[in-house]
Amino acid sequence: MPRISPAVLKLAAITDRRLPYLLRQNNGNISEAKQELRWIKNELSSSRSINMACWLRFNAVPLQYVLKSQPFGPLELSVRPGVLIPRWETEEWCIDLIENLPDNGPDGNFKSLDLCSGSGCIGLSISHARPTYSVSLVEFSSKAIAVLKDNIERLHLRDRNIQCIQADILKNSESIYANEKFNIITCNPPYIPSDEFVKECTTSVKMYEPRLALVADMEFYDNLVKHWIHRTESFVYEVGDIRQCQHVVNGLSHSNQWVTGIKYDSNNKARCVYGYQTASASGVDYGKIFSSFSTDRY
Amino acid sequence: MLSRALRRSFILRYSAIQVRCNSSEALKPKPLHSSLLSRADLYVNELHELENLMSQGGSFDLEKQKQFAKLSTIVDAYSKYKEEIGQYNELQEIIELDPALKDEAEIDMAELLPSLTKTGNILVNKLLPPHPFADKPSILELRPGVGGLEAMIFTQDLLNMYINYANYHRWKWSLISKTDNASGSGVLEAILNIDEPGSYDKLKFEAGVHRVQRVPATESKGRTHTSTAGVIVLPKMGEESESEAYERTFKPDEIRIDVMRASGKGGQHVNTTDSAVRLTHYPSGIVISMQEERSQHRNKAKAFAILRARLAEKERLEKEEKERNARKDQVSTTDRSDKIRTYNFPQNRITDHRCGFTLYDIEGILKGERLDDVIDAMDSFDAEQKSKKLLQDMA
Repeated sequence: MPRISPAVLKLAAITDRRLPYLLRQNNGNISEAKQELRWIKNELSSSRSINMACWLRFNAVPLQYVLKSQPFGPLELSVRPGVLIPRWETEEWCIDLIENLPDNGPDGNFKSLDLCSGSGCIGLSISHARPTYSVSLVEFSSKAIAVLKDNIERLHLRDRNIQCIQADILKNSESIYANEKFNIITCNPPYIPSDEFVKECTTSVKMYEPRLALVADMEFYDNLVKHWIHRTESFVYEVGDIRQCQHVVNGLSHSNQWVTGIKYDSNNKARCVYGYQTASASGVDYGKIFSSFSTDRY
Repeated sequence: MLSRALRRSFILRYSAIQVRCNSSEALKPKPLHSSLLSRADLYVNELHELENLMSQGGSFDLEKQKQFAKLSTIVDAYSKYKEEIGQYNELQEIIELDPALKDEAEIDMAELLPSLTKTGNILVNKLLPPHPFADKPSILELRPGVGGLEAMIFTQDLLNMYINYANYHRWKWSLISKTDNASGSGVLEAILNIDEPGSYDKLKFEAGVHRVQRVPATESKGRTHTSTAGVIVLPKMGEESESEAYERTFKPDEIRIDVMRASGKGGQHVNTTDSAVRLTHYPSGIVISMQEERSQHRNKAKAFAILRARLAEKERLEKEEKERNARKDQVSTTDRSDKIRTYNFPQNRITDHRCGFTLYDIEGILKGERLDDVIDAMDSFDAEQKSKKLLQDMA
């Protein structure tokens, strides 16, 4: 963390006496700190709670936890400690995906499954944009499930076709929604290898976000290739590293039924691995759904 | 001779409104051009048709209601004009034929003339083709010009003026983005969104360079400075709302979207709010940076809304330029002049340089309460210019 010079601190203090507290998390950039202060002021009303928020930010509590919300596409999700904060990278691919999803599935029933849902950002976005879809969500952490259910209420999605269950997909994949088949599986699994966790993650992530949602390496990708691949016609998994993409691609290479690909985010990092069956039994045109995924290398 | 013959034929049709052209030039009001009046007659017919439809209980949707409201204002103005021009003709006749009543008639005439000119102007204004963006909400962009810190403070004053003006009319507004000067006083750039449909029509004459003359707060020796601020008024196009279609209206190779390129792995490794977006439109060279919102997606949507507004305005200006060139018209008009208005604080004076309108009430203007006076003056000036042009074109 770079040292913040006293001159900058002083300059910040002249503008607003709470501003210096925000400098630490903004690498000493005054205009970013100001922006953050404005967001805080927009969300919180009393000066007491604003002061408190600045103090929490000084202690590296994520802004999203301080404000208890995070915009995700058109949605405003509630987030609390214990649930992973939706990232802009996820928002980006999720919006790209939804844009190309058909309005109605084959015989009016498009089944989507969202694993490791967390706050529900991906699954609920799909349900919000495509009311006719049946959306199933699976989440292991009980804290996250509580937030997820909260979000369903908050976003008035109660009447939609949404099921959510609490389960560990690494242990009982087969018994979750047993015998059901899906059109698409989306997942943002933990993907930070434990040796990377200390080295690469920012303090705020390490200290305040749930490790359960962050640390894992190939487990979930293995799980996909082993269990879920037989129950779906397409999938999108977020990844942290190109290795994880290759792992999935290699795992499916023996089968000529699957088309696989890698999606890059606007920061030019490998962000998703996706795949779909060449001949889908349901007659959905997956090539079209993933048309915006293949070319997105900046 | 031909024109006289034509006029005859119009006298037959519009005997009530025809003005005699060969009498007392000094008192003669500008007669409206016959083709303008025939256009007005078309509207009258259209209104009758609509009324018939209504009386038969035909379906009456929103579009027709709008049309009906528009037509009835035109027809109202038209009938008032007809009535007054009729009075004018009668008086004229009396003056010519009846020496006994001449004096009284002239007094009446003096009263009638200003009102007749006014109604004529209103009618012409209504008959002129409406501005293509007249019913659009607006986006105002304000930037300081020359004058350093004082210009930034003046930009802030202007921003407050427009906000006050919107409040005064109870229009919904929001700040799309605002960059404050580092020292806390004044703005470097502000974009104000006014949601009221039709606000573009009101505010379109605000575009240009506003000049201020005053002793700035930053001045230690009491000297008067002159500084400027630039205002751009854009029509807000379409619905920005939740639609994801905003990107689709542009070809992918025309647009480049840059986001904060953080080093490191991104994704779950960091949780900072990197929502800043920069949008580049290659064909026009427009670049828009947006970082107001916590969500990249919303920043994108806002940036696209501004891009669409700027492109629409640009297109309109180019089209007007083309038309102007086609007419070979060198008269400077409202939308071309650069320095449009002066705010002189020591004299408590506001002067609009385009129409020469002066008002002595700085405070009322900056509160937004009397800005309408200036805007109305500008409006009638513009209508006059346009109708002149229209008549020239027809001649």
